[in-house]
Amino acid sequence: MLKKMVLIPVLLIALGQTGVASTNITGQAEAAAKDNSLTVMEILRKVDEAEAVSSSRGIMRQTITTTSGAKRIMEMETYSRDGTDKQLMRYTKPARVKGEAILMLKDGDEIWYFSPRTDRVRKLASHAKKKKVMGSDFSYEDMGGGGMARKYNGKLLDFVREGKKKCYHLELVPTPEGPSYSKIEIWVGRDDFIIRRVDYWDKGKKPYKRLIVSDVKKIENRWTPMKYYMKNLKEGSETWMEVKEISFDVDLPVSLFSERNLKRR
Amino acid sequence: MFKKIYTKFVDFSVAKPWYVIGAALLVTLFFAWQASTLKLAMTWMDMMPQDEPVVVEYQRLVELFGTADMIIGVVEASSEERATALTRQTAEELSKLKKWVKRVDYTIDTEFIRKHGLMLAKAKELKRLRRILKDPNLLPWITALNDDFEREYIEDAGNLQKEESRAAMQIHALGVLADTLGRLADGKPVSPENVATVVDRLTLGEEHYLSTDRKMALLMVQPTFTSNEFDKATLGTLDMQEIVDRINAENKDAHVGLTGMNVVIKDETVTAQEDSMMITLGALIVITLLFILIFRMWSAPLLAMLILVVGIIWDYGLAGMLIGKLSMFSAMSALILIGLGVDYLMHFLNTYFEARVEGREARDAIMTVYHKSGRAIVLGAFTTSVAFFTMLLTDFPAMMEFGATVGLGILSCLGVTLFILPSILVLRDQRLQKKAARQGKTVKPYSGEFKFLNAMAFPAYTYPRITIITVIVITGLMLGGVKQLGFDQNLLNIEAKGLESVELYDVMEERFNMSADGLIFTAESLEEAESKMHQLDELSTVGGVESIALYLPAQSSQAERRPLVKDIRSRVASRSFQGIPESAELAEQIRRLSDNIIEMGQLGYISGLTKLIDHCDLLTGLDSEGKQTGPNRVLQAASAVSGTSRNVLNDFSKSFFSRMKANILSMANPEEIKLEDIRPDIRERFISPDGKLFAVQVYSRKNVYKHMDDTSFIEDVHSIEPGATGMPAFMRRLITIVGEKGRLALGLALVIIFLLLWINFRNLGYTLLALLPMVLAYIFMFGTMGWINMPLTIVSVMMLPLILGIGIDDGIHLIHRYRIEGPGSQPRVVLSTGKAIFLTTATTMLGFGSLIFAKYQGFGQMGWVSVFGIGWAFLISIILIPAILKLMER
Repeated sequence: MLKKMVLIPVLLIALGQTGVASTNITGQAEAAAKDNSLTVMEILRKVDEAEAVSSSRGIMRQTITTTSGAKRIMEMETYSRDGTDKQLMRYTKPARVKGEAILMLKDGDEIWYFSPRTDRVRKLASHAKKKKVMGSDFSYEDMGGGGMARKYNGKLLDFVREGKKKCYHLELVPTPEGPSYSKIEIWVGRDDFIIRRVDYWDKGKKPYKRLIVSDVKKIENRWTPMKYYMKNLKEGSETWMEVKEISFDVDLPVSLFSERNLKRR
Repeated sequence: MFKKIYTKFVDFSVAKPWYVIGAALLVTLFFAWQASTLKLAMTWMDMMPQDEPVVVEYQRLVELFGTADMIIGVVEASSEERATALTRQTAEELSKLKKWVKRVDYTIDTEFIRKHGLMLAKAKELKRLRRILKDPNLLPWITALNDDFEREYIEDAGNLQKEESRAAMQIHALGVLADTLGRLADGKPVSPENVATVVDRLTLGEEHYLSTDRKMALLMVQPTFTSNEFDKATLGTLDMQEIVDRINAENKDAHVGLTGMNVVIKDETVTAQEDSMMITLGALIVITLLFILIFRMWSAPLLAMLILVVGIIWDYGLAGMLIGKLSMFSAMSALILIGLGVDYLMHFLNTYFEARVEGREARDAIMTVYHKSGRAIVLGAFTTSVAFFTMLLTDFPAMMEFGATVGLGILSCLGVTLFILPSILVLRDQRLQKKAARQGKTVKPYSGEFKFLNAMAFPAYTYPRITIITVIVITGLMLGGVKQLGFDQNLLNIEAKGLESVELYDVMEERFNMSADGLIFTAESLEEAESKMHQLDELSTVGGVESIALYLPAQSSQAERRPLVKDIRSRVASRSFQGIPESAELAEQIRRLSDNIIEMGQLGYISGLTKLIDHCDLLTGLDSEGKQTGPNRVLQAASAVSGTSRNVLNDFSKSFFSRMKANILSMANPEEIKLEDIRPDIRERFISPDGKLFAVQVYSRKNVYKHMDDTSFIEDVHSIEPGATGMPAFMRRLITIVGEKGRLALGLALVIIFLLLWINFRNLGYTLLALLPMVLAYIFMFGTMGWINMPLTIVSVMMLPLILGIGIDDGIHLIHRYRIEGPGSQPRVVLSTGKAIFLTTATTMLGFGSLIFAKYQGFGQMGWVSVFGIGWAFLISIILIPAILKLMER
């Protein structure tokens, strides 16, 4: 298996359950693009295929705007290996949060947090998966594993445009091993199988969170979204994630994703 | 027919001017009497349709609970002690105002919490508390607290966001504990009383409503009036303000401010009154100067005042007879009439003096006005009044009253101009003739010329195609601006800048995470009140919820909580003092506490939780960039514990244990809380007199008036209780209705005006041409505002009908005069009618323009809208209409 199902860790944030990621343009996506007869499962598999990368390293800028309008801009280094199995985020800016790191192992089932100020590494409880990551509008499970076809069932609602992009519009309900949302709606590009938008639902009558993916660029022969915008529709807070640098298929040692390495400043 | 009657009337006015004036005086006195019967309905709620659910419900709640609009006192001082002392003083002094003040709340009933605290906590919270309070000994308690911080906050940044205030309060209380422990380093024992104070703070919480920086405290005044009672609200809040001002004068190191809708309305009224004087003076000065410049007529201001005052009296008299009340909207009719009423006078006088200069006697000059401008004046007035009368079709009382009052006002001003002005002009002429005869001179009427108007218009009608193309290009540019035009829904942006009551809304949002105003509804049972209170409390848009259930949980809840409370009680009761804790172990847990507080501060920083960061940083000695600039007081406490003597630590631990155990046992009282256990003032505030209904008050997390475009708070509350009402709900509904009905009224007005003009001109080309300046004036005005990023507001939209009226008048006058004078008459039309239009534009524009300098920002916005709208209407009329007429001649 040369290419495993790997989320680009950098984009873990947006990518996780929604499967938004770069896509290999040499893949089968384009061939299927014009085929409107795909089943939901086939579309989800193609999304999973489109996300498949072996490893990645990148730099991202995160801007959080809270409900009160306060802004926090941060930068982080991100690493991934073995698909969604190993992901590491390390804050680099501003000075106040420099060195804070999050390590997610086993598809995000195991989460470790390191704070250089206290020099403590803490393993977060499993229920933390549903919680917000460091005050952003993304949850750990948003950043967690991909495997859309494994984690969701659903139906095709229609063929629509999201922005200027022709998309499949799907309604998906998590399988038992899926995330905690009651359902999601996704808009998948019909020619590249990149997810352009996700609406997240809890038990309410309206979606409570929305992810918009934009600025899709060809990087190292892959279509890669460069901007992710998550809006909490209930609370009014929002988080931008922008890819500043990204490289794929890099050689990353397993030891990088260890609890001990977290303490590396 | 009309000509015949008017000719006879003019002849009569010339022959018996005093008869006409006498008759006008009688009519005016009659209307003044009718106007005196007008009922003032000057509150926002008066403008709402009275059958709107939010209004019906609000009025019902006012009857049940006295008032729904609290006045909030905000006390800021250099320290917590000063802030709380001044809060007490302010509350006591305000309470003496029995006429206006029903009750002042400024403390939380900590004794009640001591007696029943745990029965007030939700079952979920009790489970959490069971873990924290399982052992009142110092070391196990700190250990359990550390576990709780890590589980509830560090692993869940979202929870930390939700519970920021609670977490900040805990951090503050821990600061008090840390400082007390820090004193152990001196080797001196801490008195049991001091330890008791620390433990009370940790278990019972705050006594006052304090901001997280502890320098600001709140007090809530329940007035005897509602914001719906305009006069009482104004007088009552003025009296309260007087007391607050005196307290401020006596306490230079602190400041007390009042806020809440009642206070804002009072401030609004005072500012608007000051500003109204300004516009009146501004308009008068401008009119005086222009009349003197153009007509050499020193009595002009008096004449203008006379026409306006009589016109407004007639208007209010008719309104008294037909409508019966004057709302905040319809009171604005006076302002609009100042803009439009003088215009009829200007057009009349302009043609009159031109005729006099040409050698006609007064009577003939008046008839010349009739021939040359009369029809345009009447048509202009009728179309404008019709524009306003169409508001009667909107089914929205405030707009219907406003439309009817302004429409009647325009017709009144027209009537005064047509029927009283001739007699006054005749009398003036007779007086001047007599004076001139005494001096052996002759009267030389004067009417200045504005040649620059022709200089402006000449190129336009000489090269009509270029002019039209240029206007089309500019229109395209302006349409680009129109796209960018926004609507500012921050209602506080219409208030005067620097108003304390308005600024305090922001302070409340920033320092207390809540708005000074909120929504209210009633529940039919205690269970319902409690259940909805808890549902609302979960909403991120909600800053606070209050109901009797805070003090008196439903029996079912008490039953659910009782076993948990008993469990906590029995666990704690079985605990005994475990002796001196191992100092190394205690120090380790205190260091862990320091780590937790630092990490919570870090999470707070990333999440933008400024209050939490401030508390954490203050305690751990970090600056805003996270650098260690001061001592970490928690670590100091850890060192003190490590270094202190066993005896001192023993005394401290013992005192801590006994007070903590006593407090928990007292709070873990499983007995049922009954209605009679609740303070009477709290019962009165939340329970209806018959005891059947329970009020629930909900406060927004954000300043509701600043974020009117964000309806999430109202929607969220309505999703749980659709009947929730209150000032934010009215204002939201009002904006929606004004938007919907305003568009409907504008559409109807355009259709009716179009039909009227078509009937008058009997020519589609002229009809469309007459409408053109008005339509383009709107586009250019909105475009200009869009380009300079000046959004419309709920107040400035009030000026839009004025632009409609003036825009149409300008077009009608020019086209009408052109049709009388004939083809090729553009220079004459521009010079004569153009002058009148210029004068009406200048008076209105400068008069309203003076509002730009008003303190009340809403007036300033009206000033800008009128300057842009009226200015563009004039320029477009004077340049475009002659050019198009030229093209039509070809």
